[in-house]
Amino acid sequence: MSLDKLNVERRLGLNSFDTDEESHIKVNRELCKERDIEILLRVCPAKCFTLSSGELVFSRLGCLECGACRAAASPGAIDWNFPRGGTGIRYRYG
Amino acid sequence: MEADFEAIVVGAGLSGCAAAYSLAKQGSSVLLIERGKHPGSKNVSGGLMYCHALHKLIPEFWKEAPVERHVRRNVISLLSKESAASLSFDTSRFSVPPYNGYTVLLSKFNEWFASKVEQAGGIVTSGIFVENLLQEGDKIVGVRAGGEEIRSNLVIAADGVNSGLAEKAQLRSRFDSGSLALGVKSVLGLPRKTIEERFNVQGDDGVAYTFLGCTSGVQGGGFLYTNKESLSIGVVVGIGSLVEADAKSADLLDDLISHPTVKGLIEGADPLEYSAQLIPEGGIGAKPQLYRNGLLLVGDAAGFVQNNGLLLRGMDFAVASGAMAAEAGKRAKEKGDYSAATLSQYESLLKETFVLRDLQTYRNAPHFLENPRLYSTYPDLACDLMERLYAVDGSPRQNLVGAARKEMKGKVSLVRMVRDLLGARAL
Repeated sequence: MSLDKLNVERRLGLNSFDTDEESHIKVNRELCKERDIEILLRVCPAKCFTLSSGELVFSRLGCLECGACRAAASPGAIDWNFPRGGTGIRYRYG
Repeated sequence: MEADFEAIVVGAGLSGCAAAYSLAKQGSSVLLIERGKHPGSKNVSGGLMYCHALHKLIPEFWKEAPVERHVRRNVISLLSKESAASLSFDTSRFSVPPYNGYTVLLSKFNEWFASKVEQAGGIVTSGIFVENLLQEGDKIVGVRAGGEEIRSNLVIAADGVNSGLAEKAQLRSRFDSGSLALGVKSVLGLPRKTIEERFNVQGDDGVAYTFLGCTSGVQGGGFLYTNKESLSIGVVVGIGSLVEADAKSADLLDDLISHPTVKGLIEGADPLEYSAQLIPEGGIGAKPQLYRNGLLLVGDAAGFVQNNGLLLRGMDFAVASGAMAAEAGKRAKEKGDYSAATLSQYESLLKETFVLRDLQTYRNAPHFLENPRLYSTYPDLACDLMERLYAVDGSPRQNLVGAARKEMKGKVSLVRMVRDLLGARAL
């Protein structure tokens, strides 16, 4: 596999996940303003935040549980939790 | 109500394992609770562990632990778009026991460490998330996990940089974005023989690179470590600086990977894993309250990381703070008193060790590292100057001082540069 062509989607494909049924992070539409949207699209290393018909959407698939979104966005813009015990990313190397 | 355990440790990372292992060794009944499917499954580090702290706890741990390579060569590399100006330090002294530093893959490592906790008599349970602390008056008396209440005399919060327990116990509020950095990393598989030839190392000797100038001006840098049969490559950037910049975190790693100098080092490597981790690098200025009745805070949850630009240390701090928390727990047990007054000995113990001493020594480093010129102006300047020294194309030559002045023109004044250099006293 060429490293040059290794975009985030393919990199995430290398990871092991036990996906939770429910999303552990939720976008709070009232408090998540334009500036937060712009920041969240950039800081998430797994690109879990995307725009869908103008609205910010979080997809838990691929979340690395780093907390960068919580640290970068203004308070309340997202509801941030850990996924349920035993679910989420399962690092094999770390 | 009687306690189910003398101590409950939340989080089977390095600090949690160190605490639980020490407590079990002392003969205390201890429960170690991990939210991941197995210990290590939620743990990420850049991958360079300074050995002294764990060697003290488990002498010659490298003989049995899944360690990678002991680092004998450290390279600091200043990158511009197309060039690299590097300084390399190689010593055979780092290649003999007790080793200075080992590269590790933390998931595998902590799986081993948690098995040591069990061997010592501790109970380790995985896949369970600790939702809250149990409180009676102003005392912490256990945890609520998986819908159950488990009681203990002492709770040690080792639940990492995003620690929910530290916040729930009001020992600190969230770390602010200015004191947090984001690490983004890939593990790349490469045959042992290729690593030895390419990096000019024998046996289990290894190399650690630190890169500056590879982050599009965002505060931070990059790293590349050799493991036995893989490489760990990543970038670490300040969240505050990343927010203000016009950069995407994932792209910064791509930029490093595609740099012409770095590219040659990872040629042919096979991506194995992609990871990310927040790092609390606010230093002593961001230190939270470390204890209250029945509760101690250790490792990343307490913000025990030290960054001076060249060295980013967290793992030895995690191990030592875990061990010190266990020592404070032992004294509390002897006294039969787990009040904040008794547990405050934890902080006194830390002040006698490198944990709080080194954070104090480098108290001004976070401010020094905010200087944006460190991340683009100076690496560019170093590369341009070296190019001027080595490029011979028949045009008239200039002496070194003349060349340096010419390169600095319009980028940085001499006065500013001297001032920045003096600022480096913070390191």
